[in-house]
Amino acid sequence: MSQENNIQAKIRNNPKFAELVGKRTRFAVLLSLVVLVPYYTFMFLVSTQPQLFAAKLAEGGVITIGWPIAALIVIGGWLLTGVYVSRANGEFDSITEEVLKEARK
Amino acid sequence: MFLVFVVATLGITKWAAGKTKTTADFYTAGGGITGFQNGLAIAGDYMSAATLLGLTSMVYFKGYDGFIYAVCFFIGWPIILFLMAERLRNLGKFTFADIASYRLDQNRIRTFAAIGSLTVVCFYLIVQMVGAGQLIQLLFGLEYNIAVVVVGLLMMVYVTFGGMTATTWVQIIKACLLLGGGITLMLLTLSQFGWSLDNLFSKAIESHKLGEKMMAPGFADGRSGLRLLAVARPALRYRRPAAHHDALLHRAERQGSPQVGVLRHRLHRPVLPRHHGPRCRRRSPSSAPTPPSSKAARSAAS
Repeated sequence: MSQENNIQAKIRNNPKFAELVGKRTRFAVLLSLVVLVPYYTFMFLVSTQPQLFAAKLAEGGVITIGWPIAALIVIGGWLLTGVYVSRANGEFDSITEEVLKEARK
Repeated sequence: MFLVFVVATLGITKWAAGKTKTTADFYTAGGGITGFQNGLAIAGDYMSAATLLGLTSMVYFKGYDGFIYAVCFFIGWPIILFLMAERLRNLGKFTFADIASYRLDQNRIRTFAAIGSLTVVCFYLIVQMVGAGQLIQLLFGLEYNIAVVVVGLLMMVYVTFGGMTATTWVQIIKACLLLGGGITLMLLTLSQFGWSLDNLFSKAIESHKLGEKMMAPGFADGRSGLRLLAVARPALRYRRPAAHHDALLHRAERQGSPQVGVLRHRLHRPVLPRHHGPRCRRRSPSSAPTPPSSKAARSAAS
């Protein structure tokens, strides 16, 4: 329908749309790297240098530092989803609303 | 008691079937599910038989090496969220086949997507069915084969008639039960050890076959180094985990792979004595003593 194409064209021409896409892509890639780089480093270290993780947490205890490190990676991933969701629900959604409003005018 | 559960869940399915009117309803519960409920349902999806039984037993048998598998498990989720979720939602389609075929040749892509999905689902289902069958056999005393067939039939009924609404609600109930049960179990276990994780681990080390070695990576299984890299990097073909040390080496030699030098170096690292692994242990979950790590205890339900 030409009405739809009209709206689509307006959206695409809107500079805020390009800004939104750029910001969102950069943010997503950044967060993905923040998740993947520690994870792959951890995997690599665990398989090639396992003795690094055998150090004890505290004197006389039995827990090694490996356990908290692995747990931190999981919890970190969880927190990062929170970061993304909060930014997406706040900033990105408001820009989306503005773009849509201007396109419907 | 089994019948009570079956009737209750079938009741939910019937209620949901009454509400399902359009395709949108069938696939996404027609938007009638709030964000929080949906999140709970997804959490329920994650805490499936594979997690409940598989991960806990991995940690139980292999100590730290099993725990690393749990880490792998959780990393995929943020990546999906960051890279795929927004685009999929913006498209307004519901299934992977719809999305992939949106701009491409509909028939071919749909066939391809269907084959891919079915293959993955088949393998995943094997694990889930075994887990479900064992659980039902354990809890309700049905014979294993009958339990598996019954579970399969019930699942088909649920999904066919209830669509996403029923599935979501069943998953929500499951998530709440598992979370509640798991946390209770963790608190009870820790209280037995005076609220000290250290005590818990010491006792675990005393009673476990591997002893102290299970606290650090790379000791439970002499091959674990190779296998972990294989898990972490599924795209690298030559790192596929082999059934046996020498099989990998022979395969590489036969193919004339330039990686043979690297493999040879890896395989001739001093291998610590390994125990026989999960194949030798066919105990049902009830006879296994308390899993040695609190994280495992948290993800198990009593």
